[in-house]
Amino acid sequence: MNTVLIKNLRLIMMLRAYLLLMMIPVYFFAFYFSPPIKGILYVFTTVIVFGPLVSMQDATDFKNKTHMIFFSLPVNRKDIVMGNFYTAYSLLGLVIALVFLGSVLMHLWSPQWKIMTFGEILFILTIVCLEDLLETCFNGFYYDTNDHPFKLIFAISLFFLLSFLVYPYLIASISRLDFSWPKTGNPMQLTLDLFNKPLPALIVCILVGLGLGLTLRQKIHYFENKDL
Amino acid sequence: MMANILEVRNLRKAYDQFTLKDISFHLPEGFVMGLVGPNGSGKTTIIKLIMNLIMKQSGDIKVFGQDHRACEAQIKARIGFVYETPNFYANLRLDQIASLIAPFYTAWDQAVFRRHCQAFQLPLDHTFKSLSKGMQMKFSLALALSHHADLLILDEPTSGLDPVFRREFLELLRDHVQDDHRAVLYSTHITSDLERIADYMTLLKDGEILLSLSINEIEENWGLIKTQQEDTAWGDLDVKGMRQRESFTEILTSDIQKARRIFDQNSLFEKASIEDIMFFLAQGDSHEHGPH
Repeated sequence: MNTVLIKNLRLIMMLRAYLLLMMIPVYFFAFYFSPPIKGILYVFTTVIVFGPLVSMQDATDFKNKTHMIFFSLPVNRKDIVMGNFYTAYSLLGLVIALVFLGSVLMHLWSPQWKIMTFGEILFILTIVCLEDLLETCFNGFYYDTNDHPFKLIFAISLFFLLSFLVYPYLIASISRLDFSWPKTGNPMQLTLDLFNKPLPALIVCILVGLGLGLTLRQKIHYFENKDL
Repeated sequence: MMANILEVRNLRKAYDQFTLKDISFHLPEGFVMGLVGPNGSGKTTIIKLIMNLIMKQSGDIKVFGQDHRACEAQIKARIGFVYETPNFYANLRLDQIASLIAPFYTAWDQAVFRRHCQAFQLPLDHTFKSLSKGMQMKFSLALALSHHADLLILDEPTSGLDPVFRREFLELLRDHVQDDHRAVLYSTHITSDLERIADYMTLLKDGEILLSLSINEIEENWGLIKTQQEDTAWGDLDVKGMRQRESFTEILTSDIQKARRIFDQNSLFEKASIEDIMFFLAQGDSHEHGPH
């Protein structure tokens, strides 16, 4: 990995540190709530805050110059995408680690605070992975439809519909291998519960890994052939 | 024999409203080439294609004898690029930006960078966003000139610069190609800049090359004739453009020597400036009405 590139990309991320900082209090805030509010807060924060951080779409927009600089420097496009991916996910890891550490400290201070569970961490990662994959797929559609308001509105609506309604249900369904609507509780509750059990957690881990791999592959392909 | 630093062959790029059509030209070592043409003629598109910022539909681009996509990083390490709108981190100081950019280039020369900053009177402790457009361009130029680039690619570098600095900058470019292994490709609207330093000129209109010639050839062979003679008397003169004035006809030709033999003593002969050539050729098909 090109260390200079990583340093630069990290700088871009840190210039947007306010976004990362926003994630921490909202994740903490989520501890107070039960599903589905808890899950919705996770989804909302992750999609809204992490999306712009990890997204390479700024590179295609000359008004937002943060990434454009790299494309004229002696760096391969593939490295830029991989560097961006690596940097964004490592920063997300840092945020989650800080939240986890914070929850442990809060628990030690007062047992009424719950420690962030593995299931919750996995849930956030899954949301990120799906959101990022979907956003990458949408990039092509979105930028080809800039001049067409209806398609743009459709794309954005679909994106938010998937983010807030379909994802939680999908994650819950996949993790319990049952696509019928739960008779008791709600998908978010089941998701968070099931992510803490070994077999569903393993399945989700594999799915997250596959999702990340697909996202990276898709992004590299997209940006290697994208007009800037 | 002089090698070509840049070779463009049959380059094609189509958009909905615009197509760059089978562009071919080459730039040998030791020379400066100006890309000129009206707005929307394809200058920036060519530069973006060379820099692999946009994808070509067909054709070949070779820089330093290598394919511009296959060897992108190696090629860009030897290119100094200035985009018409400099893209840097707005909130960082100039010295911070330079310290982030410099490690990308193995040939980065901090002393040269400092020298340029001093010459351009760039306040290194100021943020990029606090600079005027002209100063931002100067900073961009300082960065491009500080890693001993073999090829400078500059998109409208002199727009927004004051006339005094523009002249200094052109001299700087001239000095840069004193080393015979270097070359400069730049697009501009300011034709006087071209006359001052360019060795070659490539004139574009509507995505097509109208002309790609050495400035020497233009100076020696191209000219304007102001005459009252009827076009039947012009013979087979190579007329590149013409326009009818009240009492005479103005003709642009690529063979002024021949014109001197054809036209009578009442006709006036002048050297054609690049602006004249741009004007006549970019006018469109007016020359088709005259004899060839």
